[in-house]
Amino acid sequence: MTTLLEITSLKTWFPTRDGIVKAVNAVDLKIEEKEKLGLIGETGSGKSILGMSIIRLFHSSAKINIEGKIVYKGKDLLRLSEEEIRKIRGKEIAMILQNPATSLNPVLKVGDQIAEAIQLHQRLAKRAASEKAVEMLEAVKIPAPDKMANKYPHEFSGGMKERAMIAMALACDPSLIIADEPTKGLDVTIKMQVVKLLREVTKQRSMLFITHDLGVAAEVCDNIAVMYAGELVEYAKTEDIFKNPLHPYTQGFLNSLPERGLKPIRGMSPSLINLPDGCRFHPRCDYATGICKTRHPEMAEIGNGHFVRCLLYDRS
Amino acid sequence: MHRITKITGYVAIILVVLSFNFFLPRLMPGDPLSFLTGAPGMDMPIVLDEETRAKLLTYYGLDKPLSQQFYDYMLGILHGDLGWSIYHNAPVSDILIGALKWTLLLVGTSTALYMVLGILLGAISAWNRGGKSDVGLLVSLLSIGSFPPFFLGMLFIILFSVKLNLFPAFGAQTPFMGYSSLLEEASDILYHLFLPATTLVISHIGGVYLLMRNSMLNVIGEDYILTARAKGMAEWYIMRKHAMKNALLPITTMIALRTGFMIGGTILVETVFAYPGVGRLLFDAVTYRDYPLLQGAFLIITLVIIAANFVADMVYVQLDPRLRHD
Repeated sequence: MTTLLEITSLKTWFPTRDGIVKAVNAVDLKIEEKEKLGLIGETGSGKSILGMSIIRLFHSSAKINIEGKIVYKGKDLLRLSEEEIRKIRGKEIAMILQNPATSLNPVLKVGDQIAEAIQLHQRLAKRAASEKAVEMLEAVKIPAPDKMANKYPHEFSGGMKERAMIAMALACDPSLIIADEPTKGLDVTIKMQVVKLLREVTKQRSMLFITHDLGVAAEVCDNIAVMYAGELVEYAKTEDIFKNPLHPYTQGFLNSLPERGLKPIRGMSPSLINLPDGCRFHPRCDYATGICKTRHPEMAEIGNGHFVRCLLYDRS
Repeated sequence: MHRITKITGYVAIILVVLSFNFFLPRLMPGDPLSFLTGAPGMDMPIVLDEETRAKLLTYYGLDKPLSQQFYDYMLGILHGDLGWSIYHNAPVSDILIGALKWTLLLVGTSTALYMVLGILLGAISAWNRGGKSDVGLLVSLLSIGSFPPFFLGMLFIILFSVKLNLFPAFGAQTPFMGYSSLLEEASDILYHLFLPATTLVISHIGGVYLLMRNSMLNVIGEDYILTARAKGMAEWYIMRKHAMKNALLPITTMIALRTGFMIGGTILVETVFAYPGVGRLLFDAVTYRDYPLLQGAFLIITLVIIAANFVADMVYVQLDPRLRHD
């Protein structure tokens, strides 16, 4: 397998009046071709920002420091100009944003919102792009796609909006899809349909699947990376994460699932401005010892592609 | 059903405003006769004897009971008769029509200009929030916008007409000028229009600019802007196609509401520039207690404001598909 995207020591920091928000803090991550990688973590762990950093999806006037390397097909995306990265966005790497209810423009027809990207990247005439948009809606199984293309988002149901978002992401045939909580807020039956659809349409592509829904992640992903307070704390094959979670945070996360007893992790996730010294998780960890308060653990391979950032497994 | 309630609403508003237009001027101290024979503040006011006074009152129908006068007035409007101006001694409708074309020209051009400019600058400003262009626009538009229009007008007259002699100081056309072509007439009119229109534009642009800037700032934070960016659309395109249409929604209502302020400003500006429009007519009518002319001018203004709201309603529906009823 060849590597499609390789992220090395990525830092995304937001300087604010109250201090620096270290949303993504030295993350290393690799996505192979056709790999489905899950990125899981609590709200505020920096996983969405990580996804957005890949294609620098921030407003031009936003104050952001992004450092590190994001190599996609041999090009470092962080070295590209705004003009160059725009040609990658939506064409090579597409993103499905969370909240389909607010992510579609309420005053534009859904078909036009899909067609504009096709027109831009594939240099098609308006008519041809509109026809392609209808095909995309059909591909995500929206009934009467030619009619629905002429409707506005408020005339779509929640599940259909999510499908429209997926159609939009697929429109220019990207190699990588970054899906940011695509199943959030959908009821269970719709959710499973969307998951099935996502699996179908990403058969020939890679996907970074950002979610805090572990059940969905298990359905979709080959590998899973667990994120906590801006850094990765565990990385393994999906099976290993569920059968043999190593990091106390991952264990706690799994135990908070309803089918495993609904036990929440005590405490709150830390503010990304004032990160705790040592291991970021130690104030909430049941196994924390004195050294956890001062020493910041590194990501280490425990065996067979299973990485963990925890002093419990530190052999040095 | 929806349409019927709306129309009933407009009719009710017009009726209420018509009554106000009738009674309010009559609450002012003095009556038309006090000014008929001499301008206010004249050194030697001419005193009318009782008999002449009574005759004049009868002549203008001012001796009838108020209820009868009101009835006549409403009946007149239904017949399209706005009455007879006491001061100008001519039909109110003729006077108004003569003045209305100038006001429409002045208000129309300046409204179009300040709306387009204010909206564009507000959008650009918000898009570059915190940048040099944003701060520059914010400071300059707010400071020039806080001058009262009459002051700005006088300043312009002193500077551009008196000192620099670039533009005429008063009127809508050069008096007693025979135009040899339509083009010549048009350029003379534009030449006279420039200063009063600029005054109105400058004194109104700040408000629209601020509204649009705020509205845009709200829209910029919306998820669909992020979606558009994720598709690879260019910033300028996102601003134009995705952000502005949404940001304009609250602006349309505001602009309609501002038409009232616009007319207030027009009265002052027309007076300062001696521009022969409805505003100056109104100013004179108030001064001379010319009840019929006042009522007529107020009626026109009411209709303009109602029309502006009506247009805003229509535009709103065009902009926002969620409001369309099929």
